[in-house]
Amino acid sequence: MKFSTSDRQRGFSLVEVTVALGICATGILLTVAMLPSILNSVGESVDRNAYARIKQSLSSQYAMMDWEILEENSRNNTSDRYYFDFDGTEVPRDSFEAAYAAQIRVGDRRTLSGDDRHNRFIRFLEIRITRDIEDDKAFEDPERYDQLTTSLGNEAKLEEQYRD
Amino acid sequence: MKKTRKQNHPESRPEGAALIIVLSVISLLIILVLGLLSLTTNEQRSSAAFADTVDSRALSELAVDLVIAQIRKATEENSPEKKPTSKTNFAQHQTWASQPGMIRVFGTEEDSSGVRAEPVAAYKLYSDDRLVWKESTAGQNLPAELGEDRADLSRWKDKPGLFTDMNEPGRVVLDAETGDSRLVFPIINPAASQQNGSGPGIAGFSYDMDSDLGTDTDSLPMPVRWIYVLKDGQLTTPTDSIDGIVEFTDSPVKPGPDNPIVGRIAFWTDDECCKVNINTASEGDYWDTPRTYTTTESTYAKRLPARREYNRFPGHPALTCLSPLYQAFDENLEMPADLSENDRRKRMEIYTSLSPHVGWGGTEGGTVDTSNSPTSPPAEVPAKRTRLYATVDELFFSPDRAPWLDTSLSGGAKVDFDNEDFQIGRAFLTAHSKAPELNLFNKPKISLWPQSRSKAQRNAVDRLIAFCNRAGGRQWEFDRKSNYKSHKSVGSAMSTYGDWSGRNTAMLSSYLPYLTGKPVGGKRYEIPGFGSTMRSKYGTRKTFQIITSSFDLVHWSVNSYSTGLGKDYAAVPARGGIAGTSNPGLIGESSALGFRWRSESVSAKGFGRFPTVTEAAIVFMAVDAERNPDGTFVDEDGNGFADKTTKIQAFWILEPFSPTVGPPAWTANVIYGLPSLNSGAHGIKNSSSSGSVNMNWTNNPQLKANYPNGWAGGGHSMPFVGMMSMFMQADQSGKTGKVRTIGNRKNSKTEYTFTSAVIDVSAFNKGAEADEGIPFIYKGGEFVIETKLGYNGGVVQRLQMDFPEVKLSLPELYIPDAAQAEPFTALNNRFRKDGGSGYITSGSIRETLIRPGDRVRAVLASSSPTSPSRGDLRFIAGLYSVPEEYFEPHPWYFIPDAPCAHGLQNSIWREKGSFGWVPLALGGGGKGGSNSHGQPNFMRRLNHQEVSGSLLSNVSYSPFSWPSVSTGLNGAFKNDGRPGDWDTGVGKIGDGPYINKPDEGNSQTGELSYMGFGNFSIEAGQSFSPNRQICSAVAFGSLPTGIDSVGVDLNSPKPVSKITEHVDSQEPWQTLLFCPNPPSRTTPALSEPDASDHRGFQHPRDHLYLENFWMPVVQPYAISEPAATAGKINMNYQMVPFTFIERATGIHCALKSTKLMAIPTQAVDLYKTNTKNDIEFRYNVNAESTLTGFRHRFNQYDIFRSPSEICEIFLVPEEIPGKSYHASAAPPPDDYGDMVNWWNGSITVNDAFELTGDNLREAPYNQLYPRLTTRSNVFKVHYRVQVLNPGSRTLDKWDESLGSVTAEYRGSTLLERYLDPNENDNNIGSGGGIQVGVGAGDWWHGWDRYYRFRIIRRQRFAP
Repeated sequence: MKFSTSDRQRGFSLVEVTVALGICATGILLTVAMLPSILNSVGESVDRNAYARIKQSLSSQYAMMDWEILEENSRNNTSDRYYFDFDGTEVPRDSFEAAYAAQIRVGDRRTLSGDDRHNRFIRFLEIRITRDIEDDKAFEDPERYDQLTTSLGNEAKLEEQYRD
Repeated sequence: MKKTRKQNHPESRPEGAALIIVLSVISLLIILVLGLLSLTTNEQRSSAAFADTVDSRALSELAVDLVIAQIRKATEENSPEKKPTSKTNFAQHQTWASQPGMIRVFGTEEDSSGVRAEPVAAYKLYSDDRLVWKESTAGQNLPAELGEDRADLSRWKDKPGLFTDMNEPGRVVLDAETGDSRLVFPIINPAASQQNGSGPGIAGFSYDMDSDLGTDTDSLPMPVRWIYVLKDGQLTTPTDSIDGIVEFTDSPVKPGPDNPIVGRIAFWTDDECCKVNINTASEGDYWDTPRTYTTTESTYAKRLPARREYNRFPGHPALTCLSPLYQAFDENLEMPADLSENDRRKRMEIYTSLSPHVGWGGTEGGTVDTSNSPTSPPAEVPAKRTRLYATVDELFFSPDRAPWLDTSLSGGAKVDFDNEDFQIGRAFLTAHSKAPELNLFNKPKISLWPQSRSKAQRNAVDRLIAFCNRAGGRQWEFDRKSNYKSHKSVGSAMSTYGDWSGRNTAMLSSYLPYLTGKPVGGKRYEIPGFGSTMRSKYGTRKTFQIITSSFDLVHWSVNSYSTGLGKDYAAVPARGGIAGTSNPGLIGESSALGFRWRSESVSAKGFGRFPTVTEAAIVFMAVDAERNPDGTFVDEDGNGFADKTTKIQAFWILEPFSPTVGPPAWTANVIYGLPSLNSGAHGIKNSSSSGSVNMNWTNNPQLKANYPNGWAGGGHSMPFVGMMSMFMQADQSGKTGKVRTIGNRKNSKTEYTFTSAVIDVSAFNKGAEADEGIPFIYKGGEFVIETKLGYNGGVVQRLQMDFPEVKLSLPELYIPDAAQAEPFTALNNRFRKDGGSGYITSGSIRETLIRPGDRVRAVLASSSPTSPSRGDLRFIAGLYSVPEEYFEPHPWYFIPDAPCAHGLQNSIWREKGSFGWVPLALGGGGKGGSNSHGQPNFMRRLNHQEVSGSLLSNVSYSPFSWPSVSTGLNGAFKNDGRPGDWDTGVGKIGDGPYINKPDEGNSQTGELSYMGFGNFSIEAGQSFSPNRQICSAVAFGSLPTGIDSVGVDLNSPKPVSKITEHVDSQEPWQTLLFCPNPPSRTTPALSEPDASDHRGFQHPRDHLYLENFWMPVVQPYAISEPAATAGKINMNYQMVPFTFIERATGIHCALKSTKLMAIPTQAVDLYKTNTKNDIEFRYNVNAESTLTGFRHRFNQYDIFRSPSEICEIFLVPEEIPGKSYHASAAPPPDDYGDMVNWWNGSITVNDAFELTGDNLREAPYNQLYPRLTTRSNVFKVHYRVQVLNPGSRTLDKWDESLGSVTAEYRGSTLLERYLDPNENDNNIGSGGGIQVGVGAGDWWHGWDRYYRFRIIRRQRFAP
């Protein structure tokens, strides 16, 4: 089959290209605009998993510790800090895998329903977690940490006499 | 051909192609984005699911944490908060008791019973809207609270979101094709109550069928409330649930948009001590010390528990039976009471094969004699060492035992456990039960196993028990300063104060006094859970007497020797065969001095095993008489007596007595002194003249007696023993001993120093009356006896008597015919012994020591109702100085015609009567004995009735069982006239006022340990059992509580003429009460007895004394550890709030191996005869009827505060199938309420089981109490938790239909509270941190706060 020279292909018009680029740009922009949300969701998922494990890990540790010391540390803001990777596994602070820093504050004694006195064997445990692992002041700004609250029973010996 | 548009319009451009491409790209991008979004969503969902799972796990831990917090607060805050500085801020200790679902705390304020304390708090171990009950906050009492909780359960099905069923089963599909499935219950399978095939179900388990609750044969809901968890960690319980919408209207904490519901938890906590421990329990076979001479008791004597036969050790956890459980698994595991002995043996072997440590052998479950004679070597049970079960699952799924076939044992019987057995059994079995061994003050209990203070003299068992006794860096035990080695190193048991040192001092002068109510700063620490103190009840002196006699009983008679256990020692003078000891002549064998209190000016004294003197008799004998020219005696009237006595001599006979009866045989090394005797004392005078005649006694004569009782008359494990040794020379070796001479009456070892000079009475004239003989007056006077330790002469006891002046006729010289001429005018001729063997022969000395014609006058322990002791000889033994008020002249003392006014007893003589001759004309039957030593045919010796008495009024005993009481006693009555407490003797030994000596019989001695009267051979541990010697402080049950001792300073003793003791406040025939059925009780069984029934019932009840002591169980492994023992059964089996379920299986298992003994009074001629009979006096326990006593308490929503309260529960008897009971024995009652009437009948008539001694009434409690508890250290938390998403529209409530459960977790956690045995070990002596709480200034401390918790096992319910 033979084509005449008049059949040569013509390029896209400027309008076409402009419209196409506009649509394409809009689509890409929209897609890019969604990425942070998606990434954020992924990040939240990672955090949630990690937080759950951090909470479990720290709760188990603290159940066996002397709360009086912890309480003192909480008051003085000198509580120990713990570092975790993205999986929620505890790692040393200087580990390159360290992704979270956590600090625990022992909360108030709890009064269980029906009692007229505190039960010193169960406390609120406030676990603060931040990704600003290098900044020690991250735990002082509520905007920079997440707080998980749980109740925790103590399994260790508590020698103190009962104080209200 | 049709052209295309392009073909038709060749000039046209491909317009829109770019758009198409772009759209394609866009579509691709969208697909990618959607894919990414989808991936992200999936990731979010999976991470959310994982996080929810982790959260659900965290919620389950929250449930466990709540329970731990509840338990800790209930158990660790029971000591006063601060040290009291004045009476106004003085606070009492509290105690606690656990049950499935709850721990209650009790103070010291009395409740309506008047003998127990009110609960001050209750900590619910199940999820509820009120987790803690206190009357001040709840506004109602505890029974009302629990009643309300129970009532709530009836509406649980209509309140979704408010309640949930903790026992909701899961369905397991067994066969997908057929759809066959079964239900698996997380807590209790209701099928456990039903029969398994043709056999019985699990004993003690039942539940109410209630349509409101939804209980059915295959449904057993256990509903509890949900507790909702909010985002900020707060907990709240809903107000109500209507149509599935859960409201929080009145809840103090409400959910909301800022604080939504994130989950809910429900839990219920089981008490593992209400289950049976598969590591410690076995199939128990009851054994007890034989107490009568019947076939059963003889069998007990022949079949002593062998070494390592733990399931027969009294009070051992292995005694607790598994058959009430296992009977539901396989018919070949049923152990009915009527099982033949052969089948019983086979099945017992099967049970031992299931136990990790209880082996097979020995008596093979009590079915085989291990010792038929003293010389046959008894069989031991081989050591068995299998690791303990870690879980109950291992019991059922052991690969070694499936299928489990015992062809060799059971004739081919196949026994198998299957999954169904596991499903129904696991609610009743545990591998981890453990109970605290702290007393009610939350302080350490004192061990009943005394130790050698020298650690080098401890065997393996001693060391392990010592480990159990250590806590807080201190030992909580009694010890012995030194053991016996030789005559020169006799050990501290041979000293009244020797063991007042070391830890004993702390225990005796500080710890026990404070435990019993010694004031601190003017206030007393009352018994937590009950109130009041023992000291408030009995007073200081009597309390110290109780403490002293308790310590005394333990420190020498328990663990008294060790052989065959790697370290030989003897706490008391040894019998031989014990390495490192030397005791030629068996001097003082197995004897011990009564320990003396030396604090607070109280002269309390233990009993030891040393003679006291219950009677003294002066014997006037004729030495010479008027003679014919041929030298023969003038006997004109031919009556066999010389007509005119010209010379007389007098001598004293003392009657030794010890209330410490039973094996082993013993002999005292004693010196008797008569300090009131001198030349002019106890003189005589001619009735017709005023001048006195001195008897020229030796001044303060001493007589040392230590010739072994067994070689001097026998009967050396009996109460009246040792008299014959006084006539043998002391410090001899070998059986061929020498009798004493008279000599100059000064050598305490070789001469009978209690003899007067020969006195010429030829000037005495015949009386005015024709038949008066030659009268004379015995002037009498004060008579003081001192007993002293033969080793060093230390005074042990002083007794004072008063012999009244009396007119008698001169003794006459009995002149048998020539063939029997043996006039016995020389006193030492009367101390007869067989020439060949060297033994004193009872048959000889009985007839010769006091001869016809002698005049005897005695003063003896008074049995008069007006005397302080009323004939209770324990008072004579238990006082340091016994004043004359405790004695009285013999009833015939003032009868001139009565030649022998004495009641001298030697227990072994029993049916053979005593010595001393009376005219046949007196009647009453004679005891002539042999004629070998000459006897007139018109006289007879005193028979047993005449020298003894009766513990029961107007009851005549068999000659073989005559009780060991003071002459003339006609009934042992307390001050109020009600029947008193006395003991049934061991084996054939008669009854009497004994102190229930710990059992030291052994299989080397065999049956004669109990059915003999003193046989004993040392063994090398073949039947060694610490628990058989003592398994609980119930062994103290025969210690008197009424002895009131006044202070006497031994270092500055008062003149003998001024001995005074309290006589007005004594309470004879009253001992520690550790049973509900003393013979004096009239109050019906289901009513509260009071002091009129027995002083022991008075508040605080005696049984609370038990809680101060424990006996660690260290065989076959350390079942006990510091402050805890495994395998105890919690008496508080009631499950709250599920009171519609009864799980009393543990109590069934404990009672199954318990027997009680009841001897009807009418069997008095049979129960201890010379020949064995087949009458049965033991009974099984009817567990179901006995539980009425428990239910009576539970029905009022009350529980037991102390395991010692088992002593308030009647054990309802059940006849043993195939046994013959005495015709007069009333059939066991059907009704628990009839128990008092069954035991005691009419209290004024001997018409029931009055012949049962106090020790027998308490014996079953001795074996039960150590296996029971009211507090648990191990709990199993069953939980059900859900992670919730309430949805965006219901953030302030929960809607069952709209909200979603994003994760659920069901399971259980086994947790244990424990005490670190090394706690405070390093602080001893540092002055800081020592808070063991045993001194006055430190008493406010408790040990509860040293507890920690550990999680033993978490298990998910995933059927």
